[in-house]
Amino acid sequence: MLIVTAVSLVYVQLQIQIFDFAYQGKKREKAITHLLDTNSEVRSKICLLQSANHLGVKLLDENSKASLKFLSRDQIVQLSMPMVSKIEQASTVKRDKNQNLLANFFLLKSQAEAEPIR
Amino acid sequence: MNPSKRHLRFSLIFLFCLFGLFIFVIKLISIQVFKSSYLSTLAEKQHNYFVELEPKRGGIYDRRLRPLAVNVAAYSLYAKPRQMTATMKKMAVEELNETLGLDKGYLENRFSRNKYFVWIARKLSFPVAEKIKALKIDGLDFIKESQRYYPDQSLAAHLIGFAGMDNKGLEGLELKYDHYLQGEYGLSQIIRDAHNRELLIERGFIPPKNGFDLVLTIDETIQYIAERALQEGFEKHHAQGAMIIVIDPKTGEILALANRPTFDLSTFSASSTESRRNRAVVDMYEPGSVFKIVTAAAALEENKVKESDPFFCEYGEYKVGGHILHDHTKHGVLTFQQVIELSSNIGTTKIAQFLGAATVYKYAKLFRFGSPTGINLLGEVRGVLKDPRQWSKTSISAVPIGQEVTVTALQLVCAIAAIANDGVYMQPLVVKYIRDQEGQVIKEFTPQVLAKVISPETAKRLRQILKGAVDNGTGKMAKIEEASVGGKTGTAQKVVNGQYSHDKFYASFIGFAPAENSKIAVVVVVDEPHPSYYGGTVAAPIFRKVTEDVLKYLATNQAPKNIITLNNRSSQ
Repeated sequence: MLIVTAVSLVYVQLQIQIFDFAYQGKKREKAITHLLDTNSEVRSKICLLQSANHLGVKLLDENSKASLKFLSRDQIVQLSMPMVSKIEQASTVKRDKNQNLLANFFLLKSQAEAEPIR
Repeated sequence: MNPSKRHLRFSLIFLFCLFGLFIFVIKLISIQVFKSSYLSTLAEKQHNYFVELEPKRGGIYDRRLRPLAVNVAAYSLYAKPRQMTATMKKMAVEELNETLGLDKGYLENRFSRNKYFVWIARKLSFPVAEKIKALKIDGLDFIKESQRYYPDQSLAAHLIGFAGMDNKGLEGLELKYDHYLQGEYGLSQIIRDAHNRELLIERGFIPPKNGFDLVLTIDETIQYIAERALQEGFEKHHAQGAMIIVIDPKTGEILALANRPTFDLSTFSASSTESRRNRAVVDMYEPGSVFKIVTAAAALEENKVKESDPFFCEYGEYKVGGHILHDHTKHGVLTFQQVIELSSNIGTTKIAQFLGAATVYKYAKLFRFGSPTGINLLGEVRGVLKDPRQWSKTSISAVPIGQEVTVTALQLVCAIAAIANDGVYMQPLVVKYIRDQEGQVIKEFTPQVLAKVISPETAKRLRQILKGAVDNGTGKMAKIEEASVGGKTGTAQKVVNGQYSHDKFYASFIGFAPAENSKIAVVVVVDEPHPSYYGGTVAAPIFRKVTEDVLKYLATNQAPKNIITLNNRSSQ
């Protein structure tokens, strides 16, 4: 009888905890939803700002202050980095990696990178 | 107290308790046995809550995956009038009138309803919803929904179309590809407590299937260039309407398609049906002189004439079947090339008479006039091209110069694109492919050859003639510095009450650039321009503006000619 009572109490306690976590989870979910909504709002604003219609009115319209025009291929110049500096850059990266060899050894994962939410 | 009395009292109390117990047992049996299923269903209903999970409607993107239509979160405000006191209702009316600008009468009417759920406003933006939440009015709550968002507003409005309040496509590609875009609803079973608070415990979950994305052949930048020039021309010439299509002649992919008047996709309900009509595809009109390309193509392909063959143009007046045909400018003898370059009606009629009605009809059919092009858009009309057996005595002087025949702007651009593409007629396309949310292509629309209309040799000769029409003929205002251009002007009288009008015209220009190895073919049609109404003065400048910028834009995608290496400052 004692065992049954004890097991029942444990069961009730676990159920209370489950519901407590569920309430907490709901609160956190609300906060995350709010952040996602803000993110969605910002993304839609970015969409608007980078749209051809918006940029066109801002930059290409005759009435706009910028009054930019499409350039012909002859008017476009590509600035290129010389080959030497590229090799130098590559070797610097390699050297840095070697210096951090000991640190890298103890690292389980590569450096975390932030990713946009899709 | 005597024992018998005490015994009686004890028995009565015992019987009373027994009776009470009996009542409890009966009630218990009633609850546990007879009402069991009813009560458990009631409890299930109270604690379990089914939520329909809305799928994400697929996006619409341009050929470079720039968004043209996407989904954003929207917040629909509802009230629970039964749970609200009179003071709360009054406060809500005042505050919502101020925040949302809703009429007080409307709000009072909504709050006076004795219901648990009443919509107040649908699909509010995030900042507005936040403002209302900050008011902390009891009895008001939100349901999160999704809403279509068109970042380019009116750009490509006629093509994209729009989706309604329930996220179902109502017009354009939103309607045509609705079954791909809409997705499937999911279901979630959530537990809630006695206070109706939801708990993060899910008992059942069927995830929603999100809609597929539509990737168009349209280029957002080219679309902007085309719309900007069209709007300028539309306003300058006080026109009733205007249309433009830019197509890649090699693939048949439409790079831009625009109409005027137009409308803003974000406020489509406020627009008129007139402004929402995709004229380039659903309107047909008599094309006028631009149709002379068919007669010219027929003459060259049949080897009946050479560029230098002379035609006497009767000094501007020529009688055919009792009807006197006029030229805009009086000409004597013109070569075949000059007839097209200077757009002589009499010269073209004489060429057609030489070829015969059947040949002209055959080539008009080959260029798919009188038949739909099969573009993946709704409502395409086929136009009218009568069989020669139905032609009147004057038809031989009308059809070859673009009268007694009706076409769409789309048919015209496909025809000129076929000439630019060595005589190969490509199926016009607006959708490139459909992909799922992971980026996997579900359906691809590959370029398709519909017909080989004329030989590459004939196409080349015709291109030279059309280049001449721009360099020396009626299309001089279409000329650009950066590249050679081929094209043909058209000025067609509108038919009003069955009669040709003398003050209402269609001004049009069809052309391609560069003249050899063309990158684009374009049609521009302006409906009822005033005061100028010639294709060469109204439509050709719009063509020039678009072609100039589009060619520059397309060139920026190639490697630049000038490369400067920073270290030694050498220039290649």
